Order: sequence, then structure tokens, then C-alpha cells
Amino acid sequence: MKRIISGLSALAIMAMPMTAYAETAIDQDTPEPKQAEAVITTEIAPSYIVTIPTDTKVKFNDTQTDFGKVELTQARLDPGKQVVVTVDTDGKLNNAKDDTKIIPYMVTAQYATGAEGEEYMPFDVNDSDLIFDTAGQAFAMEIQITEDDWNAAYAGEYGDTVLFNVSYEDVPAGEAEP
Amino acid sequence: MKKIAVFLLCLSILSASALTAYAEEAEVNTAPGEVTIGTEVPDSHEIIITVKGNVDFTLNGKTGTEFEVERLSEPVIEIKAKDGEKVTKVTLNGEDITDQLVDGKYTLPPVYEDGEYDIVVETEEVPADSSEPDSSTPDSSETDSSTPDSSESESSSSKSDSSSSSSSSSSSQNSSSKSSSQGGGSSPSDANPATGIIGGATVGGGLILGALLVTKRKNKESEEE
Repeated sequence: MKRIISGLSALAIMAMPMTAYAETAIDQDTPEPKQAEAVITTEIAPSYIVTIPTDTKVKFNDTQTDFGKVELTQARLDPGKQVVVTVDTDGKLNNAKDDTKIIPYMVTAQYATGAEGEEYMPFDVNDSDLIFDTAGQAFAMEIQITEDDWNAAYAGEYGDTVLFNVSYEDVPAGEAEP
Repeated sequence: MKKIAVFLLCLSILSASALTAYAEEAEVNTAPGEVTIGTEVPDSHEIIITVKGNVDFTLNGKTGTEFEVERLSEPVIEIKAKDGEKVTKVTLNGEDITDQLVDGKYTLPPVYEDGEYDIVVETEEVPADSSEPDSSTPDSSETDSSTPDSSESESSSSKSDSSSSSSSSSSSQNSSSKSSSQGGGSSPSDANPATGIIGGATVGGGLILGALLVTKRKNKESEEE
């Protein structure tokens, strides 16, 4: 039994990647110049962390509510790759007791001010995805409800779920680096 | 048994190192995140109503200045003038709503937030006899046409604004038109029974005088014979 275990252990140890330690022998018989190439390889798996907004309560009659931000807080991306965040929402806050009663709303995103001080216009998240390629990039999010929609809203509690889908995608061909 | 345990331990160590690599891969996969948006719409609102004017005021049948009304309801305000007065003008937050009052009632637009309403009501005194038509006392006006005019001028002098004086002037116009119709009393339909008596007496007297003259003439003729 001992032998079997020893054999299996030896096999397991041998199965471990030892590429970096592969040696090329150079001896007196090696022709001049006595050189050998050693290729060093490694693999870094891509990883990223995207921060999305938390649950938010909209104050009655507020036409603009801060919805936090979507940020690529950490990123180790492959070249030619990007992180894409899609925000899914039907744009309707539904009454808890009567789902025929709704309050229309819109989620907008505005790219955070760049290093050059450039400001970007907010846009409807239903019209465009949020695209990231560098850690630290962020979009400020906002919930908008018009005054007319507030005025017409029936009493009660309303709610809706916003879905943030994060995907790791190829940068479309021909698209310039932002 | 120990040997099996050692073997399994070795296997678990080997497989654990492999899992670490896959954990990083898992971060790359699509990861949906759900976020909830919520809000609450109140079921009632507080409204404050300030009424300026000498009137009785109610909102949905209740008196007061601060009211709690159901959201999106249309409260009804009712304005009643005091006895002897009538409402002439009503403004709501500066907007004239006099024409929209029906039997002293006005329906506010749907209430969707707390708010304040300023209502200003103008009133005027209603003359005690202005409601009775002049034709109700025809005999007195005919016997002395100046009497109703003077009484009306007295009542109009107690009125405060121009609208009341215009109503009195219209009534005086009525009386003056009556007097003019009396002045042209030649038509038979307008004949005064008293005038008829006088006329009748005059005819009768003439006949009597004629008869007396006839008898006098006959007496003289008989004396001469």
C-alpha cells in the first residue's frame, strides 16, 4: 500500500508544471558559441471588479435622485478587451397594490469628468451601454421622474428592479482607444 | 485507514490549487446585479385655506383653515354670504373664479401636494326692498309718483358701491317710464275712473243747467203773454 501511495504522490508531483525549470545542458561538446535560450512564460488571468449602485429610495416629488455610480474599481484586462455594463430597466415604478398604477422614470448615466476636465452629457441607459477599459473609470447615475408624472401618481408604495449585466467583451474592430 | 486519509488529503491539496486558478476565471464571466428602486406617494395632503371676506366658508362641509384631503381628490369649497349680503367676486390665489361658482360652490383641481390657497371674497349688501318689484305697489306710486323715487334714493344712499347704485338707477328708470305713460293718459285704456266721475258730473251739470235755462225761458214767455 505504501508503495502505491508513494507512486501516486510521485506522479502528482511530476504532473505539476515545471516548465520554468526545464534545463538545457551546455557542455564541452556544445558548439561555440556555447549558448542556449530559455523562454520564460507566465499567464495572468484577466480580472476586474465593477461596483454598481445600491438599492435606492426616491424621495416623493424629487425629479432628480442620485443613484450612485457604476465604476470599474479594479481591472486587469486582456489587450483588445473591455468591460461592458448593460442596465436593464423597463422605466416603470409599479404600485405595490395595483400594478396598473405606475410612475415612469428614467435612469441616466454621465461619464465622470475626465482628467482633462472634459465634461460629458448624461444619457439614457436604455440607449447606450456603459463601457470601461481602465480601472477608475466611472459613470454617475441618476433617476429622473418628471413633475407631471409625480403629480399624476396615485398614492401608495412603488418599486422596480434594475438589472446591471456585466460582460467581458472584445473591443469592436476599428474602434479607437478611448 | 490512515493511509487512505493521507491519500485523500494529497488529492484535495492538488485539486484545491487547481480551483484557485478557476476562481479568477469566474470573475470574468457575466455577473448580473439587481438593484431596487422604490418610492412612496402619500395618500393625503395638508392644505391651508385662508379666506378674506365677510362670508361663511366650508371645505367638504367642514369649517376651519387647515384640512387634510385625500390625494388627487377634488375638494369642494362652499362660500356663503352673511344675511343681507351677496357675493360679488371671488378670487383663488389671485385668479377670478366668480364665474365658476355654482350655488356658492367651487371644486378645486385635484390635490397632488401640500399647499396653501388664498381666497378673497367681495360682498355687497342686498337692499331689503330691491327683491320686491315696483309693480307690487302700483296704487301708491300712482297716487304720488314722487314717493317711490325718494324711497329708492334713500336705499341707494346706504349702498356702498357703484353696482348697487346702478340697480337703484334702473329702478328709478322704471318709475320714470311709468310716470311718462301716466302723463300721456289720453288713451281710453288708461282712463282713470275718478276722471270719468268728474267728466260724468260735468255732463250732468250741463244738462241740469240747460234744463234750468229752458225752464227760465218758458217762465219769461208766459209772463210776457
